[in-house]
Amino acid sequence: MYEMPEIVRIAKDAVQHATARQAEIAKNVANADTPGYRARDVQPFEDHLQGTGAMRAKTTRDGHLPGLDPQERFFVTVDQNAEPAPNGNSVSIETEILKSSEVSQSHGLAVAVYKTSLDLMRTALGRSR
Amino acid sequence: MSSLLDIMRISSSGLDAQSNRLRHTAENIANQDTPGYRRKRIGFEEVVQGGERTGMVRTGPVELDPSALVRVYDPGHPLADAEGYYDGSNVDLVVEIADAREAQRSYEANLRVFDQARQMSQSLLDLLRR
Repeated sequence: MYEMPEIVRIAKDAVQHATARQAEIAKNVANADTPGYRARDVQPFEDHLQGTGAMRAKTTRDGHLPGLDPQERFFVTVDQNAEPAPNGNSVSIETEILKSSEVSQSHGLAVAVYKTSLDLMRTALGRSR
Repeated sequence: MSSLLDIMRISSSGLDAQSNRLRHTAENIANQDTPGYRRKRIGFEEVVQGGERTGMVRTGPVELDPSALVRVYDPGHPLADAEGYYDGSNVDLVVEIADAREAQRSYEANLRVFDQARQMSQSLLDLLRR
């Protein structure tokens, strides 16, 4: 059976990580004025790659249930250090915007890596790009 | 992809909530000189569906500000009592303007996240188009 090369798999993971992180940012920004809301983030991609984050059950057969929902593969962390506002909300819009430009960069990088590795495979097959 | 659509849904719930808040601010400012008008205020709450937090936001029920109404001295006013005072509104323009500014800032942030999710899905779709 055809198996995806490691680099494509990592690029796919990185795209999914960026998407998951952007989802947490969207939740934080939407709840920037909700009393008692604590800012959340997703575990760094390095931690995910080294497997130090979420514990996942391995699926070795088709009949196995996936351990985690594919959309919730990344550990979500609650920011404990941020100083909450008087209403208990710890979202800082500035931090969120900064994080979202980080996400934009890493998403762009991952997509570029994916694209380039597809181009490599095309070249290896001897087709013009 | 579906997750990117979720992001857009969450951001648009934020846009909705903030514009609702701005609408109440506009109502308060418009009624600043209405006798007996009590300032309206709304809170935000996270939407919970089927016991799960969705991350979406909505505005809570409208509450009236219970603080005291301003006593205005105008003996010629039809509502004036024996001492020449009538109840004005308890709208404070400074508070309303600050609230409107905050709503605008949060609206822009939500819009930015929305736009970025759109760009991310665009770059994914570009992978197919070649």
